[in-house]
Amino acid sequence: MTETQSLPPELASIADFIRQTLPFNALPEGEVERIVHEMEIGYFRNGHVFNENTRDQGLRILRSGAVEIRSQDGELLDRLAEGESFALSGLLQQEPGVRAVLIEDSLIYFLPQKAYQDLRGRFRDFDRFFHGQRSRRLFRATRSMVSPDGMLTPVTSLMATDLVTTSEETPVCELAEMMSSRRVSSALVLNDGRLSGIVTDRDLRSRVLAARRSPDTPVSEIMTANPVSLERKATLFDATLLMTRHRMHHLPVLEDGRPVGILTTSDLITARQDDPVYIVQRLSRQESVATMQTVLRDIPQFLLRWTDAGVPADQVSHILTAISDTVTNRLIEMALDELGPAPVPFAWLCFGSQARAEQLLNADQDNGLVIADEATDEDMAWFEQLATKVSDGLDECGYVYCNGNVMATNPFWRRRLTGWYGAVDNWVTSFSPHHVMEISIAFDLRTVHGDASLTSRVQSHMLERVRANSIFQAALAENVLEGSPPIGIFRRFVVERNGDHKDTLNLKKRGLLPIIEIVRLHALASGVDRINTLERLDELARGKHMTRYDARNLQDALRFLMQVRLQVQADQIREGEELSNYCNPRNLPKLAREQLRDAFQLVDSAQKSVRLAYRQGMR
Amino acid sequence: MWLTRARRERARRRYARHPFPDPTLQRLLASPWPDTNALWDEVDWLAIDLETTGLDPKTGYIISFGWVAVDRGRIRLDTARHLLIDSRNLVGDSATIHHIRDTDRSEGVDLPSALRMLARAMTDRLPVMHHAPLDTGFLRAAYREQFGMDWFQPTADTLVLEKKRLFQREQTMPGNVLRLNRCRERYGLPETNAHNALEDALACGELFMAWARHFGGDGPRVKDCLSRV
Repeated sequence: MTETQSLPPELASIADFIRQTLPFNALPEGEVERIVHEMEIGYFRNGHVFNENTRDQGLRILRSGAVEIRSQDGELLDRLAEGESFALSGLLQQEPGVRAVLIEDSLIYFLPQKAYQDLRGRFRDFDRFFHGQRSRRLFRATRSMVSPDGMLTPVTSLMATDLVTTSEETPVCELAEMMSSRRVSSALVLNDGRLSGIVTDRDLRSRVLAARRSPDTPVSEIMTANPVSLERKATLFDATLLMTRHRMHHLPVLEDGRPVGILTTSDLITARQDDPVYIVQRLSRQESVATMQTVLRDIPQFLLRWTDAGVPADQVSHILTAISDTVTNRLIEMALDELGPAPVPFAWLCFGSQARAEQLLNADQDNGLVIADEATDEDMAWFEQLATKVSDGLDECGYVYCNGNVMATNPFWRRRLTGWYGAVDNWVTSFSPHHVMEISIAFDLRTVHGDASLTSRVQSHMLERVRANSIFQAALAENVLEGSPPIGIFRRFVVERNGDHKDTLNLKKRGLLPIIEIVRLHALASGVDRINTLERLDELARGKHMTRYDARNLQDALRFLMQVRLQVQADQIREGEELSNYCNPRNLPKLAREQLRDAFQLVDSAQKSVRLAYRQGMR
Repeated sequence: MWLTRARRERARRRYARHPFPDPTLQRLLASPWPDTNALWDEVDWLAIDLETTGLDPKTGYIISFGWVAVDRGRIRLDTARHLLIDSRNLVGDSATIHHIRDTDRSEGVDLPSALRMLARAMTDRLPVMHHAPLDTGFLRAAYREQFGMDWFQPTADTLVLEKKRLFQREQTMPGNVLRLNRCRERYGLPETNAHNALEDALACGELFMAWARHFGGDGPRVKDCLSRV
């Protein structure tokens, strides 16, 4: 029998289409071909409705056309287009009365319930994709990330990708020239794109020079043929093991037989240097701003390694925050060395992202000082000097002066404890909308140096005042509702229309900040004293101020948005571009684009619930 | 249509007296005339396409068959078949007569088996084709030549159906508007870069469904679909 009998060619083109759609692209080879035979094709007009009464339940994949998923009360839940799929039976379990309405004439591939359930039963990723609509999809994206554990990070995080490659016929002298001009100690020999050998400095020495061979000897005669190599997925642990076992210093990394990088013993040794603990340690030993600058200069490269190694974004932020804390601490210590000990107890505060431990690169400085009440006016002048020194040092270290002048150098943010109380009372009783936005950053605060009890007294005063003041809460809520997520009515991204950032989204302004602000509002209104947004959400759920489900969804959305922003910044570092929070959704992989949509929709519904919850106080 | 029916009735009566030796073919011959008042999606159809050398059944030869069932308004991919006809044993003159080029030669099923398989698929189904006269001509010739059987079955022709629909609306019609892909385009169906018999059969089946869904009311009745012969 010929091939055509087992899989007719047109079915192969149907299979090709299906294989490109989510989540079928994750199925093992051969599965799609197998299920194609069980599928049916139907054509339906615009307006056709699938609901619980539809005779056949199963999975429907849109080959062409578009469909809207609507709730019982007609609310638009989702809009799907070509290549997307829905299973009513699953949707109905989540949302009774849900229906799918075609909004264009559509050609639909239908996988009957039995075959569909069979796939779900056998493939976990496939199952999870359909297990719930949007929240679960995000869940999968954030939870399946590997947490790197030193030696378990993939080799790709360390390997050099700038490869010197050559062919078997190349004369050794040419290769040697190439290697010295590119300053590498090894070269890979390729045959038809596949790795056939490796040549190292040592080979040139011992097999050419010492053996008195001609410089025109072809590479194939002196190379180590079929060298030991690693797959891309291997970990540093695997690499170390191989290198010790085979006593070798160069390990090619392959993907499908083709070299994608090379790992050397020295890479493994320097690997330890990007350990965050090591960096923090080194920073805390620096004696001057200049030497701190040198350590900090490498941070972008470290950030690349961490992201490549799959460190989740919230942890990267934690690390970066730990670094800025260390820098600040070190600067304060240096200033104290110069100015002598502080006359009265004080706390150096940080606000905003540093306080929440959600910093990324190019963060500016937001800081303040709480000074014990016994401080005299003379003492206050001393603190002004301290503030100036530290703030200048931070600026030199790359934490530029704050645009909004939220800095300890500004007397507004440098007060005695009672001064802070008065300021807080003033904020919550007489405020203007503009004002609310300005000071909302101050509700995220943390001690970086000094007497933390001063800070917690300011914080509990804030919580007390805001909690009791529903009008101020409403003002905060209005502020929260100002930025809306960039999703149009049909789940299309609303991108910037012109300017430098045309066709892009501001992830921070449109996604991260709304979540952070919503959560801050809930935390203040419920008296939750955590500062980190993820922790605030945990605490809100624990105190039943928010359902665990909503809290998880927001956590997932936040984690995902942070992840995308981190990825965007990593790419910008790699390309040598200026760092920004702008992302072009078109550059994202398909799944990530969907997840981004989901995340924005979660932000949207969180905003809606804010509107409901704080409406009474609103004008 | 009455002519097809009359011819078919005659063949049926003849074969009823002397049952056709091959039970598969006999079953096809014995299948009753469809209820022409039934709605299109209450009956079963078979979208068929043939690839042939040339346009004349007398000299042309069937290279391949493709078909897929459109049962009760939906295409069932488990019924999809693509058969290449074994033409290795056609050598010399007979190959020349049939315009078989060396590139057409392939390993496959022999023609009688293919015709039997098609007969089984067509039993209790109504054929649908795009530009039917060509394909039915070849089929009729092949069934007669191989089995001495007169094959007459009422068929739907998507080209004719689409032409009728367009003529109701427009006066002039540019030359290629009835090409399969052009027809599909009008219904928002994805473009197929067909060129094998099964791809065309599928494309034709999808077009047939789209045409029927756009018919209005409850959809066409069987008699609205069948061609006059």
